[in-house]
Amino acid sequence: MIAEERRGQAEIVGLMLIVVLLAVGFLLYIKFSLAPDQQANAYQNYASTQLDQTFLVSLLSTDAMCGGLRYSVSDLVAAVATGNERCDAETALNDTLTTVLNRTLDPWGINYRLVFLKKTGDSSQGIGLEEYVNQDYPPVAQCTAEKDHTVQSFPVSIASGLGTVEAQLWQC
Amino acid sequence: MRRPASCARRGQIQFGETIMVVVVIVFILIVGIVFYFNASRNSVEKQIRTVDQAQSMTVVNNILSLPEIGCDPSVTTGRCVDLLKLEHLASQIDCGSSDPTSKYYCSLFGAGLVTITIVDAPQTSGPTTILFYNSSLPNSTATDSQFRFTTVYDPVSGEQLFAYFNVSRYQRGASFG
Amino acid sequence: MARHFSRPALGRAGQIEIPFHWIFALVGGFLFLLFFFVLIRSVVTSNQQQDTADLSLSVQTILLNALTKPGEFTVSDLPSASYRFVCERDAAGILSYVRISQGSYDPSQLRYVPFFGPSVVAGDQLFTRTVVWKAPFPVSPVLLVSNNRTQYVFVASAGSLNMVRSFIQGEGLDGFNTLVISSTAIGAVKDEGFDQYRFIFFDGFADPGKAFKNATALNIQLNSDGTSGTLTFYDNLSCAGSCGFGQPRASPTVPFVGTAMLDAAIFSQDSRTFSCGFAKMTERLNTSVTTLIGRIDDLRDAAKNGAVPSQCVALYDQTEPLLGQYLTNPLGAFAPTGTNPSVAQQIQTLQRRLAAEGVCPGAY
Repeated sequence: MIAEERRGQAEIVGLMLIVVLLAVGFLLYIKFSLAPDQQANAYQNYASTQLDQTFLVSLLSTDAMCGGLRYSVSDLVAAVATGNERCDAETALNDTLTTVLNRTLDPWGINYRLVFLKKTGDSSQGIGLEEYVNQDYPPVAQCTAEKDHTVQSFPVSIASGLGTVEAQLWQC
Repeated sequence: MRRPASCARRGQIQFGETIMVVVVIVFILIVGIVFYFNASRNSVEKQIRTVDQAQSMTVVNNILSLPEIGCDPSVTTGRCVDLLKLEHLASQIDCGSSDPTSKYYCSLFGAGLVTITIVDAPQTSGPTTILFYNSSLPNSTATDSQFRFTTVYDPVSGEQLFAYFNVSRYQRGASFG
Repeated sequence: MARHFSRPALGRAGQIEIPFHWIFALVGGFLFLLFFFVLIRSVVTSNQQQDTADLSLSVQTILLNALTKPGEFTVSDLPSASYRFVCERDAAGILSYVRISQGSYDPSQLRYVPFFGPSVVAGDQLFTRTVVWKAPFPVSPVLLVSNNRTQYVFVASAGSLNMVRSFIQGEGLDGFNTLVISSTAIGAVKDEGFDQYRFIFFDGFADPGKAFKNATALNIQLNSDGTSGTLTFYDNLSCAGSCGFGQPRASPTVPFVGTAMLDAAIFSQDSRTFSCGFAKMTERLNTSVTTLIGRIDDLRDAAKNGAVPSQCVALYDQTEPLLGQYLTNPLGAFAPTGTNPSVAQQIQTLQRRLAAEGVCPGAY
């Protein structure tokens, strides 16, 4: 009789274990079936858009008027870099770049920095143009080298022997 | 001779326990199967989204490289679409009609919304947006916008203007079933 | 005193229970095994189908992406399998797809990809190059497909060999397996163990005198401008008699315009697949022509308003009816009529005249 009681208790413990397992399994099922659907149709956040090289390439091909004549942005950058005074290239360039950036990257909230660098040997320096950043960001938040960023660069052709000029678009 | 009551009860308990064990095992199996199919369904939905995004990219690149709207390379530089070609091609595509041209391009591009915005249009003081293509699905919204930058060449003025394509895909609800 | 325990009665109860438990266990166990066997089998089959479907999607993506990058030659590594590229035309329309080994396929998967290449590509590499067909205005991208197990043998007279080599380099075909030989040396071509051979003759068909695996041929007659002419396909090159090409059956000659169309013919498996792929190319021809005609109308209107110089109008007036001929007789536009240049050549001439004016926007 005593052995039978012990066996009965062991059986009940076994059954209880199974019930506990079932309860845990059921809870897991409830958890997963009620989990919010990730990546639901969400309108893409412009600020997180990773710009591709088409931005720089297209920007450099864009035309700008300078001294009554039409030049590409690439030509004007080369003129500024080489000190060619045929027209007020710096002002024409600034007008065009500001217009494009004010109507695209700025309102889209992209934290960028657009720079033009002249590379001579191992060193690089600005060509005398300002660096363009998204002014909607406070200065401390603007895109700088200290922040985590990606860089797209594209060469600007200038006369041989004068080094190379590169347009760089940083995105933080 | 009467069978002792304890014997009869022990036989019933042994029978019931076996049934219970089998029922529990089957129940655990069912839960496992439900988990598996749920995971499969999530994985399929993720794959559909990945395929959708890949197709979006392909549609975008397809549009950008359409020879029908490309510029004359002898007078333009870099990436470029011809404004007049763009407008005339767009006017030939009507996804509501059954003419061969519309059927071809609507099948090629699928359900989507494509606009091109000329950032510095000379005749206006601000950006100009042209609707290039629109083929929607019922009860769907345009999502997953992709931007690709280019220049638009106006053959009349000879200018190349900065522009961008905005390509969205129409998608119905987030999950199926 | 009553007995509480009767062994004979219990033994009888035991005798009833034991057979019942064993049967139950056997049946239940068998059902479980059957269930798991079916489940595992369906999972394995589903995985195999998934792999084939993934691979098919990968190949489709490779081809679609290659189509958007004109001028690029790419080598794609793929799992070793047999890739059957199909383009078929019937009364209902065009079916075009890639079938991997014996897997399932979507018959309209490559419906909008004008590709030209061997029907079966076996192995683990796929070569692609995209060119734009200009007739003479840009009409359609053209995808050239091949692999490292297909050889292209270009055969020309000694005086034309340099021209052929320049053509191969100019078209960017040197990434493919090409061999350029003189027609007098065709007998010396060796079977290097490729899966298929494509012979391209520039100065008339010649028999190599031996059999080559899956050999087909194309004869090209070039016009003086070097970008137009006629094509003759030889599809069935069987080993007959002296084990050469025997009496090959020539397809009807077709005119071509534009080097992209010539590239397409070079890479096609045969005349049937060329015809199907060319049908895909020409689907955009009507749209391109209509677009250009509308554009010329706008330029003419702009000239009336003084935005475009008026001297351009006369040239636009000559170009528009020529473009219109493509709408009624596209292939006719490619062929010269007697001593007159073809419609395509005339449009090209007018475009050069517009450019020479220096102030006229081009017609295309």
